Amino acid sequence: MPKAFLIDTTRCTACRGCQVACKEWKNLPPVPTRQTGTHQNPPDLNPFNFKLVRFSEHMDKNGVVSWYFFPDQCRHCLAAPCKMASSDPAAILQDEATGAVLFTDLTAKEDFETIRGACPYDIPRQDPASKRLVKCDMCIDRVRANMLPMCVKSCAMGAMNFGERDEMLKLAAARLAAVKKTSPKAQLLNSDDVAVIFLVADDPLKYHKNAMAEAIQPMTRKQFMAKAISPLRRIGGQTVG
Amino acid sequence: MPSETAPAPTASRHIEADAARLRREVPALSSVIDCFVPVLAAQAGVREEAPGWTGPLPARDEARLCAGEFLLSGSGFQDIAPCLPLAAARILPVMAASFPALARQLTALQAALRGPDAPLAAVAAAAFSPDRAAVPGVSPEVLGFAARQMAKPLLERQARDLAPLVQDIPWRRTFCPVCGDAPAFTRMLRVQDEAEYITGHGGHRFLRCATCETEWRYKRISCPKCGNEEPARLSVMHAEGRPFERLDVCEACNTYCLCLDCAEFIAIPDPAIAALAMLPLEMRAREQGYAPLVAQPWSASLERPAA
Amino acid sequence: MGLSRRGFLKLTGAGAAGLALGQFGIDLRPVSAYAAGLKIEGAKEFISICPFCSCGCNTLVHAKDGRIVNVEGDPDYPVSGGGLCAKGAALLSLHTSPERLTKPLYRAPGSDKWEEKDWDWMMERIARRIKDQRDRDFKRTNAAGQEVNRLESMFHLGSSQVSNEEAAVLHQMIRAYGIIHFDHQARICHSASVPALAECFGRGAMTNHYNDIGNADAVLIMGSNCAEHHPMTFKWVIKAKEKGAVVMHVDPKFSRTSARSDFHVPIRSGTDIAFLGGMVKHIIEKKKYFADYLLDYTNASFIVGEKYHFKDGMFSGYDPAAKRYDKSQWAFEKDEQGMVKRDRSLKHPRCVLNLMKAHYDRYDLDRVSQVTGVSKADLLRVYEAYAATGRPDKAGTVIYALGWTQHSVGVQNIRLSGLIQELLGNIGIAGGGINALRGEPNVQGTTDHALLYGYLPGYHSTPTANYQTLAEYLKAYTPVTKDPKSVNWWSNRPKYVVSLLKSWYGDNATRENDFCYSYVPKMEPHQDCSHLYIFDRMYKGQITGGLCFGHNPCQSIPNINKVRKAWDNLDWVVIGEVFHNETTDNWRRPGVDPKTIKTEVFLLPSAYRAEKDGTISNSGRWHMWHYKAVEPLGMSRNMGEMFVEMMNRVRGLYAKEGGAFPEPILKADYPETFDAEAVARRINGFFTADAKVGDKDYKKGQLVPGFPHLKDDGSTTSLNWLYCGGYTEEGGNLAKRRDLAQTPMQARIGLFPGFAWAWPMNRRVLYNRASVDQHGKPFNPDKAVIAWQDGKWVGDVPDGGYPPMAMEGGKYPFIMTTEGHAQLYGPGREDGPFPEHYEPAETPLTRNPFSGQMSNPCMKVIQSDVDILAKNGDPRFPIVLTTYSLTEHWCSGSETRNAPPLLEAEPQQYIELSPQLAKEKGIKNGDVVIVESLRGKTEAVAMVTVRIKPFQVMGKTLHLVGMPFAFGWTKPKCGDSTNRVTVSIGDPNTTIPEYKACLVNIRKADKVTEL
Repeated sequence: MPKAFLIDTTRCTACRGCQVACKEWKNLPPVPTRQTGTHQNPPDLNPFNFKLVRFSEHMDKNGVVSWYFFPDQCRHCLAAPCKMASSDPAAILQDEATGAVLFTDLTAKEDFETIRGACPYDIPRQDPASKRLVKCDMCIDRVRANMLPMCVKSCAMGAMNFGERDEMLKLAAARLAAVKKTSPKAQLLNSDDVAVIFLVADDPLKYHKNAMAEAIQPMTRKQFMAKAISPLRRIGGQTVG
Repeated sequence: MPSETAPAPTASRHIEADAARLRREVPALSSVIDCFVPVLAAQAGVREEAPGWTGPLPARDEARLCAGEFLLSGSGFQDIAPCLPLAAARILPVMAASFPALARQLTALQAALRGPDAPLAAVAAAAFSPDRAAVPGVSPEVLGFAARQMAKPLLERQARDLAPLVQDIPWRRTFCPVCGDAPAFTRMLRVQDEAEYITGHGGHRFLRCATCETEWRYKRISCPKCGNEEPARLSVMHAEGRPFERLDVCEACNTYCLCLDCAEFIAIPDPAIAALAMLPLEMRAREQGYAPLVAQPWSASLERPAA
Repeated sequence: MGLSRRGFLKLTGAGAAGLALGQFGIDLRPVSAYAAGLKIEGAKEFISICPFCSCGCNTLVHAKDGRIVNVEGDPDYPVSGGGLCAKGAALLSLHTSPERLTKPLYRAPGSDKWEEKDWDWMMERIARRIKDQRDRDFKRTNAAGQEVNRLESMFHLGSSQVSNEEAAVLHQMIRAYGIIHFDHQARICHSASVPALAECFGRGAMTNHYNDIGNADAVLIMGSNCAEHHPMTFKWVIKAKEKGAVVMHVDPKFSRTSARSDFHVPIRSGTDIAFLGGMVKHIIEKKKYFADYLLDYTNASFIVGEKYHFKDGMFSGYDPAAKRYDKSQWAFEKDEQGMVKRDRSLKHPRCVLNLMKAHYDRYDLDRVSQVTGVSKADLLRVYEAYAATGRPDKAGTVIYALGWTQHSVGVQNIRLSGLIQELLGNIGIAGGGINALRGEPNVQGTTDHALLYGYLPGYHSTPTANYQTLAEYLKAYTPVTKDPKSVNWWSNRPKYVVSLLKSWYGDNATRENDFCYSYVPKMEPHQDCSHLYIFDRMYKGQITGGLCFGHNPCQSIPNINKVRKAWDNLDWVVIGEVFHNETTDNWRRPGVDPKTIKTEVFLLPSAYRAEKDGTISNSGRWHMWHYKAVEPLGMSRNMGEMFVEMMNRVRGLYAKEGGAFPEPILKADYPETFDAEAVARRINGFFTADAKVGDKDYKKGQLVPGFPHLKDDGSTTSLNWLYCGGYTEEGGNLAKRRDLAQTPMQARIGLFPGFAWAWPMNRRVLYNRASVDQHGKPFNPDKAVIAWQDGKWVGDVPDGGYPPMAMEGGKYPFIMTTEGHAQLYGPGREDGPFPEHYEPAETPLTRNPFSGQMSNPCMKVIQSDVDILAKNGDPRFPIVLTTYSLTEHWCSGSETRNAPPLLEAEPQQYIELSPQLAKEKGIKNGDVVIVESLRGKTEAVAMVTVRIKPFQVMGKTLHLVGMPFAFGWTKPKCGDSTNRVTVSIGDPNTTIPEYKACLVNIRKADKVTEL
């Protein structure tokens, strides 16, 4: 049965527990970082950070400040464009039982820019040593053993949820209805197309330029490559905030 | 605070699926699984079909509950005798198939419970007083065992209807808030706090009643038998590679209780199957001189040599 | 047929006992074989406590084979429900960090390296150092010839990290040496809270507790960013919000607390009294106060003497030479019987309410808005929402932290919130109170145990030279009232002081020898030995050696350039720490040649929290036991062992060699070894003779059941009366209790009386006698704290077990104040009976619109060549700097900078500034800027953010910037202490430094050297 995440950003406080837990489970080394004028750190996803809490702040015309947090990660698309874009069908797999989109060692032979460009959310990164492409794998080892993904396990705010897709959709609908009472612009992002469903309280572009994508149709690699892909499918493209 | 009662169990318990998984993971348990899982499944069926609590619910006296008087302390459960034919029809044939050594007596019992003059009251009583010989051709111990297996789902079903009466009561005892029995199983569960700020990562301990399967919250690092809370005299035993199945051992009173740590699970396993999975651990604990707080049907007489 | 309990209890009790598995016909051999081959792992679980903020989150520490393998939140801790914040989540990696200090290290004078030494070598040399210095510098008498028995040239600093038991043995050792320069983190984080809250209500602690915040109808968070810095507090704020409470955040910066509040109101740092003064005016003018409460439970009707007056910012009795008031001029008027005069009609012009009304009459919206930079609309929004709690059935709570304490008016900031809470009847009730979020993990406990120069354990002032006998001392500090309805609990002080002396000196303390009172070092009256003065004297060469445990002053004290130079002047210093920090390694700091530093440094590796047992007291006064899960890493030891060995070694030397006034050391009743459980018993105290309490007999040596039974005749001991009752013959060590049971009444407000133990006598909500009317009926029955039912109190432990006021024997509810009332007018603080707005010591204004007095006339100003202040409105430094913490790092950062994930997330010093200021200064987001004050400069990365706004103050645009104080030089490229630019200015009552407001300028760095 396919699994899904509900990431309720209205509950996220940017404690970054998920960001840290992901690294620890995956044994990814600390990245030397610098302060660059934001609390968002590291500044972007990288080969050693598959999960990143993005910070954005805004002031409306009345001077009211809002501060948004977005725990970014692979969306595990139901019809994954990265998989469509890969030259070797064995390079990127989709796990039948869970729906997890998995990058194998064979991704080392794929063209990184093509795969990255295919992703509407700009998720894939390349390991500089092995040339493998890397990203969140839904903690597939854990999920197969009936264990929650680390980011979900570590979330102390109830922002990260994981379970059967139908249950998550139900939860998402309930949370959306609750949040809409105070935030009329609240919405679920690409919930029909992805396994990682974000709930946001405001315009998704205010959270992250790649928070949302156009709907994706399943197609063959040939069809897929025939279309201009990168970065047109990203709705944003402008840095906001 | 997180809710005082355990999250509602998933709609259908995946007994068969969980059993199949256990069989894959621990093939050595196959024979025990083969015998007991059909019985557990039959009991689950009876639990769903049984009438539950009939008529008005007992009065809920918050003050008395808080003072430690369990809900049924004055009245007891409602009579299960009228439901025994149903339970017998569902459970006894399965038991007979599972336990060939008992088949003849179980079949006799089933027959006795079929007629208009069936000794329903006597069999119901035997569930609670196993020494009573009430049915010809059935030994007191087999009658007691079978009666208890039939009574349990009926009582569980009644308790399910009573559960709302003890919900939100800060019940912090080592016995069941509904029927007063001791816990036979414990679980650590992840409880989602409705407050949108810093919830726990799980690990809330719930004790599960041996008789009616009601669950209630209880503090960790404490022995439900003797109350010992010195961490140096409490320990956790688990088998390498199966860290979530643990025996919580008290060195003060030499007791253990079964505990399933569900904090990291996606789907919560069926408690009965989880308990069955811990039979090997129990065997090791018995060898070391520990006794169970409450025995499981398959582990009650482990200290006796297998025939 | 109903089945009786007897019947069905046997259902599984008998289980399948009648049937052996074999009888089922099952072949068990495969299972048995499988079981026999299993590799069984054994683990232990221990309750420990997070060593960061005062939320005191209990943790479950899993240990296997003597190693910590996992740390998680304890789901049974009512405050956290098992959650942990980012720092708490890093506990495992911090405990097992390769950066931990695991061996004693020695740095010889002039050396450029550490040398590993063994404990014996270190301890022997330390004891020698202590004794030599003591023998050389000990003073038997002062200049006036009075016996003082003190050692001025040696200090002790730290620590709020120690357990209560460690604090108790530490305090005893320090006083035995004669040390008076004795201070710890409470001074710099919350010292202002104690005198402020005590003046209002009688005790200096957080009035309610964390869970209780969930009962509030209005939450005013001011001077706190609790969502980030006391995360579990905010859990209960959100609980209250979900139930309909309005949550307001008044703070200079928009933070995560603001993001989750109903609204945020930015305020110029240092103007809280103006803001709150406006609220007092609003409440009085709009008659929003709770009239009965005001009349019956506060001193609103008391009549103040004629000598009191207030003119142009100054109260009567000021002595400009001493910069001190003659407080006798502020006394109440008394009748011939000695009773304070009252006018219950509240018409008398000098009754407290009318004086207060007159005082705050100047705090009109225009003026307050002009000074604070808060719009009038925002002021009214807060005033109206909060004043709405002045009804019997509504509760408002105030949550504050260092944003209020760290000012030259720190005490009066808090006092004023007390006035508001008294007016609204919000003290003693569920969901009310003033919730002082204490800083460090055990800062409440270590304040109770008085690791502070001015107190002995249990809040008894340190004796001064003018009180040469115990009788003189006790007379001076034991208040007297003529009002029979006032409990005046401090009239019991002699019992507590004598019991303390009996604990310290055992059988040597007798009535005949004044219970060895003369052994206790005496200070000079008004002598200030707090941090700022310790470092000033160190800087001037008057203090030359000392002890520093679990504290990082070379990072965290204002004007740090001076502090670091002062530290260079030490001949020797003993430091106990978990990690290297800016203090341990001061001798090798950038820009300094170690050869020129003469200090001999003894660095002792300390056990970390999960490696030791003992108690800490969370901010809500819950006294909680934590267990030792594993042995301390490497050769590290707990500080209690270090103190006890140190003292016993010094004692051994004195026994052998004699020396300067050895009596306090040789005659101390002091443990041979450190055992937390044994010390916990000593803290509670024993009977020294057979005694009878009620109808129960106690033998000599048995534990005293509670502080009401302590005696002033030497028949009892107690190292701290507040904690007496926490370890009893009947209940054992109550700090270990984990019972979550509650009555329905208790459960409605989340009281948890069976979880751990709270001082005093397990009261969870202080002053709860004020939550009921004269007949003992709760003002708000839905959230009753206590109630008089069937001739007794139910609910919480009543704060004074007397019958209700209207009954015979009824007493006033504020049992700790002399006259039994909460004090709107407080005649005991240094800087006035009513809080008055003064500008910070460094202010961008040139005029204070409230009066002709610019800054607090009594504030402590440190005088040295490097303690310089910018002039009012100094055009060179037009920007207000405020400093604060951040979620990922703890205090000075000396621990958390060793957690790679925390450092990855927050790696470097930064400065938050508004886009407007950035534009004005030509600074882009991410640029490195130089932050400069008259004291020094430092580098920081610009974080240009709309979360900081410019203020409109006195018709001009004023900019404020904010910097965290967690980044220091010992981690490369982290940047360095914000305290290079802050001021050595202190509040007159406690000398808490004014970290929160000073003047700076910023510019884009042309060269970056530190980041």
